Amino acid sequence: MKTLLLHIRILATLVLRETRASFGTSSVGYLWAIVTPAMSVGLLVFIFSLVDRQPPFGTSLAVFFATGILTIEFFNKLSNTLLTSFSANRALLNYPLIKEADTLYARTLLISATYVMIMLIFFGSLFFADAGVMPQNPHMVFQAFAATMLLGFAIGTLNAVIASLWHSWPQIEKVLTRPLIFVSGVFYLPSRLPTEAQNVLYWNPVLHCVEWFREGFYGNYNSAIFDPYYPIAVSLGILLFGLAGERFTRKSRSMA
Amino acid sequence: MKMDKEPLKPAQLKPEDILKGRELPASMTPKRKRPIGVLVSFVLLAVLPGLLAIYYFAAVASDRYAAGAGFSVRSMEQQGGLDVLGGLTGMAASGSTMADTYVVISFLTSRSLVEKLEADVGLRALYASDLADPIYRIDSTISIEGLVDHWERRITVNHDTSSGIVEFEIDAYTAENAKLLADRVLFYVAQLVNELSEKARGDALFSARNEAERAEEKLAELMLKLQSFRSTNGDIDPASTAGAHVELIAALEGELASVNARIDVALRDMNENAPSVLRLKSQADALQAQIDARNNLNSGALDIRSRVLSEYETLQVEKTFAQQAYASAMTSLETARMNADARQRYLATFDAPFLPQEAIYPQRVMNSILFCIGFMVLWAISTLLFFTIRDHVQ
Amino acid sequence: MIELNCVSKGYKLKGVRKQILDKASIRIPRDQNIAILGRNGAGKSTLMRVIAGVELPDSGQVMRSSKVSWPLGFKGGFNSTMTGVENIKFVSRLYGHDSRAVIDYVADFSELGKSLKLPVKTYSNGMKARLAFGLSMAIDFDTYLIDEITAVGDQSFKRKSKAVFDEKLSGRQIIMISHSMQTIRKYCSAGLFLEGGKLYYYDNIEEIIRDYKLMLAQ
Repeated sequence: MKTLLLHIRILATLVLRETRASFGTSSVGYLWAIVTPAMSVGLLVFIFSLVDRQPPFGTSLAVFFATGILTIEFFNKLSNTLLTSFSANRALLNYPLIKEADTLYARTLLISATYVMIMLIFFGSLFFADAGVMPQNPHMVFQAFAATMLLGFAIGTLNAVIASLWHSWPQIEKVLTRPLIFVSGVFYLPSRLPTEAQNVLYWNPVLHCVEWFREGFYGNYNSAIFDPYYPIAVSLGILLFGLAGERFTRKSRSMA
Repeated sequence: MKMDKEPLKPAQLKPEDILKGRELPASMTPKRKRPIGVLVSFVLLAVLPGLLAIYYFAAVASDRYAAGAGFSVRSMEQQGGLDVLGGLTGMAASGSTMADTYVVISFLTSRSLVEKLEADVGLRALYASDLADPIYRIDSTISIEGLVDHWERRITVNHDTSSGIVEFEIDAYTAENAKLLADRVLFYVAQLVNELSEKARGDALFSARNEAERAEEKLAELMLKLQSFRSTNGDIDPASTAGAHVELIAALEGELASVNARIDVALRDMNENAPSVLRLKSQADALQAQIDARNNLNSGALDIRSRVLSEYETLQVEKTFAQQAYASAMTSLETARMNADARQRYLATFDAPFLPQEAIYPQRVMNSILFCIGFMVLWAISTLLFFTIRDHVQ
Repeated sequence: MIELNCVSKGYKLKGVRKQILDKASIRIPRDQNIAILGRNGAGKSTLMRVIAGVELPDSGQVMRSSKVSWPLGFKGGFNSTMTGVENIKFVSRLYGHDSRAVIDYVADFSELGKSLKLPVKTYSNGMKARLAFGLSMAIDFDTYLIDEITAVGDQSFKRKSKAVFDEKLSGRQIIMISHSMQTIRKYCSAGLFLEGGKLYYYDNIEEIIRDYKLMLAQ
């Protein structure tokens, strides 16, 4: 119990430090970090609304794209930030209280909190601008967020471990995750794709997270492809590899 | 400072020879606490739940029989030139039957279907049956919402978007019940498709039928007007009546002219008082009187007559238009009816429910393995997470 | 009480494997100040990092029953884009200290004044060292691990830091690495000699200094 409290204190300290380190010293920095992704999504939505006024589903184009893009951004942010976690926080490890895994937890907590804010602001302002909808099943939106967080944490942890062993991994990972936005149902309705395409896309866990969000936002989304157990199973499997990898490669990392 | 006591040869002194310090062994024996803790947590979090799962699937879980059907929603519509494109994109089913397919798919897990089944075969009782194991059994007083939730877990729906084929599968605790449910579901699906079809037909015919009705009403109204016109004017056809008048006067005038001519001829040979001339003259007078009378009659009623006539002619033109409109409305109604017939939906069942012979659910071995793996993974992750916390203990 | 139980630690540098500890076991008594001696490159700093828990042994166990500091004297750990105050806040929060008191203490000690509100990257090495030293003195530990702390600053600052050092460390255990026999004699009453992956314990400081000189002569 005492250890748990200690751990919570360490994590809180690390989160505060990460906040300062990534967003600068001013509180405007953090605000900026929240506003920029919201604005980039807004811009993207604006461009797409010029091209195609008809949302693939529902009444709001903004909501449809945002559920996709914000989920992917959240996932990418987690997996990419965690990837550099070990190398960026090397100096911190000189404090014996801090273990490498703590930096992973701290970054995950911070990014998740940031994205909660981003989503609240984005969907909130959409709603007040009369261009959005209230989520029909709020509990599913929370689940979707948690699932995305779990997936991002799992893949980010594995990324961090691989990157610490294999220095070209960040570049390779970048190449591998680039097509993610196209295969995650951001711009189209996955349920309307030919079954052959659905069967392929099914293997992308991020797509399930996007669909999960939409199931939460739209009462009658009825995704033909969504399966909540799949992304969770993938996350848990990868997380197991990531955590075990972190533990067993720790010694080889600490001598570098 | 060189060594002075031992003249051992160059630099081959072993550290042990120089260092007089002791190796000081640790007092504590290495703690074996962690492996024991790990073992205990392994038993508690992985082995026990795994064994429970195996026990459940081996001994408790009740057999579930599955029956299902496959169908697609078809229309008689001929696929037009877009078919090539449709074939290319794999979207063989046309937009409207596609939409109907989605309606059917939502219907399969809808409250309305559950309510129909409940009224029909007593769905609640089927799933609250004693045959069900405690984990799967539902409360016999469960609310309709709860029943819908349960139903969603008992039916699996598959939709092939390229062929438009929908397959569903329902499980129940006896083979007969499974088949019964599948049959009823298929029946209600067919009913729904018929309703949709009727609705689509109705929609397509609606405006054409409206148009035809309007044309018919208009025509009927005009006929009625004409009729009342005739009865008020005491004249079936004012145009021909007027014609008859004119003709009559012309005939009279013609006859008058010929009588006058005959008088002129007679006056050449006879005097004015000759009896034949007198007779002719009286004849001419009579004719003139006739003509005058006619003309007098006419000139008095001329205004009225011409008004009646123009009114009549307007009515006549309107009637012609209405007749044409009615005819074309009837034609388009006929076309619409043909279109609507083509747009009719029907359910093409290619795989009717069968009576299952074997309970294929639960998949006892598969599920046991999956559950065991799942518990192991969960245990491993929680242990690793616990360790990352424990690492902070100095 | 710090114990090493059958601890091995080695690493590879450019393909050459170097064994720092080879199944070394030692029980370091709580009531002695310990000097760690060894030849250059024997791995004294690594040993200290293993004791601190900053590096993990390849095998064996390190047990600490008291609060052990991080290896003092290291200049890392500061985030250079963060200000001195923010770095102090971070460390004091990390160790559960009241950050206001720690800031006051470090500000008073380090004489950095307004520079504390500037990012650490603007500091000179001397300023960084003063910050690091002040910060480590502000946090309470049972055992201080001191890796070659050399006094920084001018004469008066040296005097001041020595005074703080002496005051702060009285009643605490010190484990130190130093090349200055004078410092070792002043602070330590026992020693550990690291040689060939083994640890040799001396409860007499003069003996270990003698053996150390013998080894150097080799």
